[in-house]
Amino acid sequence: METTLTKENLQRILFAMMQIKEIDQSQYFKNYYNEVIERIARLDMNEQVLALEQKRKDNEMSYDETMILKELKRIQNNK
Amino acid sequence: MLQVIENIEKVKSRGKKPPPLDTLAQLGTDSLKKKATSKWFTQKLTKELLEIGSPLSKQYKRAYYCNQTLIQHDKNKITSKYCNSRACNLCNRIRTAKMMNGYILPLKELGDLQFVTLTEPNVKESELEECVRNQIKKISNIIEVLRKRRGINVSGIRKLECTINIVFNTYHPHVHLLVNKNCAPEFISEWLKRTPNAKLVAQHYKDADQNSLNELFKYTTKQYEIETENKTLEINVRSLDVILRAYNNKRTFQTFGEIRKIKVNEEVEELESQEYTDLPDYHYMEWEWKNKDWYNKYKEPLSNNIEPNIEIKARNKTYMKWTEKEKGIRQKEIDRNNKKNKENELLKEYQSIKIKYK
Repeated sequence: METTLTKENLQRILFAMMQIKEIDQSQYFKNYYNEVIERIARLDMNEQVLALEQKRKDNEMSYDETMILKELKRIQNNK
Repeated sequence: MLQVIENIEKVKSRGKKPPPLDTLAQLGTDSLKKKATSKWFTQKLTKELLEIGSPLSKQYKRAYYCNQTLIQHDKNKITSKYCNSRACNLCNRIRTAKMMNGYILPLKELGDLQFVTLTEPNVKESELEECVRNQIKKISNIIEVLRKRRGINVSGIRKLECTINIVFNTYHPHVHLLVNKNCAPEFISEWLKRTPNAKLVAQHYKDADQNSLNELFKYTTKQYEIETENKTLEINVRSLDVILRAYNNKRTFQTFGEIRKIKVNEEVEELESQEYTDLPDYHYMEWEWKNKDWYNKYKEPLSNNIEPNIEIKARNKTYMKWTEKEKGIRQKEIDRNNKKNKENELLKEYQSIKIKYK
């Protein structure tokens, strides 16, 4: 089955998770919570990389952006 | 499906009640042929199920004799006796149609819907029944919490389903929900709160469409696997029996919230009569099932059904006869697990060395 965990869906799940009281949150629930945050961050990063790649193709990229893209790709490859 | 809704609405606008399921259309001999094929398949399936000596053998026996005799009366009416078993293909067909007919309009009244799938990792045969029981409890608990503690007005339908992993002989019970909009993330977060071993990636939700409705109303478990190359249907007899036993006496289909008030039950009525066109010209006739069709006392066939050119293989009685493809999948999975274990060991070693030198 194809995953339906898009950025928007994950954000909604995160919001729903935030509604659960701290006292009800077990350790494994916190792990799920961290996983959701991590996934959103990863999707954010992918979006950013794609946007920068597009800029590079259009030759509109500044030096700073080149460095950011390089760093983002390094992080992506490490993961 | 949309056509069905439109038709029902048209009839409603004329001030009449929507028609019951069995008179939605005048049934022709084609539908009798389909019925005969279903009957043929059910007999093949239940014959295998009866051989393994299951505690549900009474139910399988009823399914074996479901629609054994058809009674034709008033020229174009046929009455038959239904077994209402989950192992019976004939009754499953009616059950699905009944559900769709009964719930499409109330679901439409709820507005935008979301289709949620909640899962847990696969379980062994011995753990299946407890897992299913827990899932039912969890879902009813979630609904109660959302409604009473969180003040969310949840309405919808839940359906329990189970699939089999033949290679590893494990079962995958899961829950499908069709809920009103913006409740789906709440369900997932509450499910994760109650399920320590679940995986986030295995939980799904999306806006409901026609496919989601079909997905929800279909079978509780697949009865066979189709092998198109060899034209064979493979029945995993033992695992099918395990699933049917686990879901026996449990509601696989349950509504909650506003939708609960509409009365449609899972049961198939014991005696049902249907109207057909193109029936042989008799006022009263009894038709008895033999091999592939129903025959009367003059040995005339009723539906002219031809025995399907499909071989039925009952396997998985021991789980040991894997095909080459399954062997490959199994080997790959074992290799992957070994690799993971090795990596974990190395990681542990590395961490212990790190602690030493600190």
